[in-house]
Amino acid sequence: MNSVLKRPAVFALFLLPAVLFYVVFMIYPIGEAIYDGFTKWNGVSEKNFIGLDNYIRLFQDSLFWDSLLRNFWFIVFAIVIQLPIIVFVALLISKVGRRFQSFYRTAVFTPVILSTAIVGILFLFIYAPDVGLLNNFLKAVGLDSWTHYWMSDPNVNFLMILIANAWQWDGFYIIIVLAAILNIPKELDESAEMDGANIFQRTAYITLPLIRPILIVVLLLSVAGSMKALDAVLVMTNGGPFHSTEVMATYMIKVGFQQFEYGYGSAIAVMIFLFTLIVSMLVQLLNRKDVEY
Amino acid sequence: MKKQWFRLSALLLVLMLVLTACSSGGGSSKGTSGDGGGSGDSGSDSPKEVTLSLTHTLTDSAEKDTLEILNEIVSTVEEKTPGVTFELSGIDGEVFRNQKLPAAMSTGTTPDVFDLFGGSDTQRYAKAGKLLDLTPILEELGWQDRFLDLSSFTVDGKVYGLPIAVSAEGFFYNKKMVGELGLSVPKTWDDLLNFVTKAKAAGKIPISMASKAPWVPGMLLNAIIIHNVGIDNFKGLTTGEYKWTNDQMLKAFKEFQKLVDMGAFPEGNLGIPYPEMASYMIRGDAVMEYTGSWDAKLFFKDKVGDLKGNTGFFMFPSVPGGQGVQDSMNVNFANGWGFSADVTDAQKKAIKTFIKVAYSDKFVKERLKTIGYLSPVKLKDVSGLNPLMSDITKTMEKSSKWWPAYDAIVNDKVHAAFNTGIQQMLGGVKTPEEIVKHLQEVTNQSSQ
Repeated sequence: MNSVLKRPAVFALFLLPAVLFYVVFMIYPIGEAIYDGFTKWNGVSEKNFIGLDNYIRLFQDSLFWDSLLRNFWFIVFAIVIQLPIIVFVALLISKVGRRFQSFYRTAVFTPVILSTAIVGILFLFIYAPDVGLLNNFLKAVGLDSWTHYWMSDPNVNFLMILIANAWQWDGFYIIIVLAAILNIPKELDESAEMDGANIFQRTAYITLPLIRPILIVVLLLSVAGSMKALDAVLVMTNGGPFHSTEVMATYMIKVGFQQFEYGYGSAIAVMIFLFTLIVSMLVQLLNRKDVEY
Repeated sequence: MKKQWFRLSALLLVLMLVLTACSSGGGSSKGTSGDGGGSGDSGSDSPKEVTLSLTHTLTDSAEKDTLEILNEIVSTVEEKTPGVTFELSGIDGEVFRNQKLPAAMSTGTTPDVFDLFGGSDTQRYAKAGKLLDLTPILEELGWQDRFLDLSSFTVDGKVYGLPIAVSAEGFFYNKKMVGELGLSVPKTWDDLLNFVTKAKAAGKIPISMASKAPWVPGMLLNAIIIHNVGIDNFKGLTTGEYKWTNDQMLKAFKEFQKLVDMGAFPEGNLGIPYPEMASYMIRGDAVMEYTGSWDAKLFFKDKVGDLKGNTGFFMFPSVPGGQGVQDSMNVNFANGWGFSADVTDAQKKAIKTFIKVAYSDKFVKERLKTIGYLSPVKLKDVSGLNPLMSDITKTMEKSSKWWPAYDAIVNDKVHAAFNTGIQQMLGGVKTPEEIVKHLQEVTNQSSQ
């Protein structure tokens, strides 16, 4: 094997298939999408190069900016609500005994293996106005005034999608964080305990700083996921009613594949790409000062 | 020696990968897969062996009967023309129309025979030269006058598709319930508003509505508009001769808003998906619904209880002072069969036979009877229909003018804005005035 690594030609030969696949299935389509963003094209006609017109239109398109705002709500929800819950649950699971730990691990992970279509429809049942679990539960505990037409009321429907989406994906992040917590050498925790640190101090000064790199990864994944968010919205409301739950990706699909403006749709796709890149880089900045223990 | 062998096998491996990557990327693979392969030159060298790929959208279990009839048609064609084989594949209708077909059209891998929508879809593909011109085939068959209406599949005087699913829109109502409530079928718009008030007072949902998909309330608003402003004015919107902001048009939107404000529709209807619309009728909660004749098949099944044999159909009531033809109705020749322009002569021959069989009296009648598809061709004998289907057929015959749905007239952008506008009215977030103003803006922008 060593001899291969020393010969650039053979090295390149081995790299070629992977590079080729990467170019054919990643670089080329991205390049094409960027080019299409500068054209007026309905998918079958000739492409007309129109320069920056699509982007000028994009900056005036309030539907797009509203969609972008909703993607940011996805991010805010992920950081402010989901992340604390993820860490809290992971900490709880790390403290239970070995036998029950695997049970809890499986329990929180189960939603992850379900497809989004199933989760979406499951939650549509829960949110159903007449027969749904949520409204019936609220009625049962005497909170009749809290009941809503969850999916059609523009004041609450997007939040309800966020909750369904969080329910599906939190298990995945909990498992990652849990693995990081369990990887912390026991000695650190024990010596701190002997020095008289209580459980809150140990969590705050030992566990959390040590899993920080993993938390950054979790943050990065959920932020990138939030920017690309599509399937949950598509299954549950398809962006409606009257665009009240539209995110960038569903808007892109509507423009590209229902109004047949492939050019404008590609411009939106490029913007999703750019925004995701920017936000991901911002999160990466958090990772700059790495703490060594 | 060992090193050389190693290098050689590495090279072979890479070569293999490159070749397979290329062949799967570039060539259109012929096969039974659903991705529209097997078009173009498949089986062209020997005239005896002709293969036609056919993509249908009958994937739902509710369309089992429709698929069975299609299978019968295909096997009849195969019997009549030895050497011809059809390769059928089914894809979900929405996915095929909005994703698969446009993709196949732009990459040149269209199936030979496929489910095609009339109106803007047909125009887009015909103008790009992707659809087979059927005019000569219809001439050869002597069928120039056989079809009721081919306008939605005609582009620049040439026919590019044949309608299969013809539908008429109107009110389905529960006859028994209307009798019990002491009501009668509304003849005028004021009758209808009265009907709504009384049905509401009796604790029923006057009009079942499922607005999660905006085209559903769109059908009703469409009818209100056409009766108020007339189809010619509506078509004038595309040329700028008529404006969304004209008084009569605004009045139509306000009439719809009136229904919303009266509570004519079920609460939370913006979250109700279309398949649940009929269930409000079947459960006995709603008195009527406004939809297309395709729903008829739901009402002649055994499991609908009271509604079986008790469902009636009536035309949208007349609007006094309206500018439209008042006994007119929406009749859609929405989707049908389209054919790839990229076929051989032998395949074209097979397509001709397919058309001849699929639109023969026998099969058209079978569709009418078993699945409630109205006939796209002129039938001489329509006996033996169930009461609801004959109700619909008679209503259609009575009407003096047929008009196409709004999405076949306005462009895709205006269509999208219209759909959003309806939901905004239903959700109470925009007024009719704001909506017509926005629609006019979108029309102005998109016609530039």
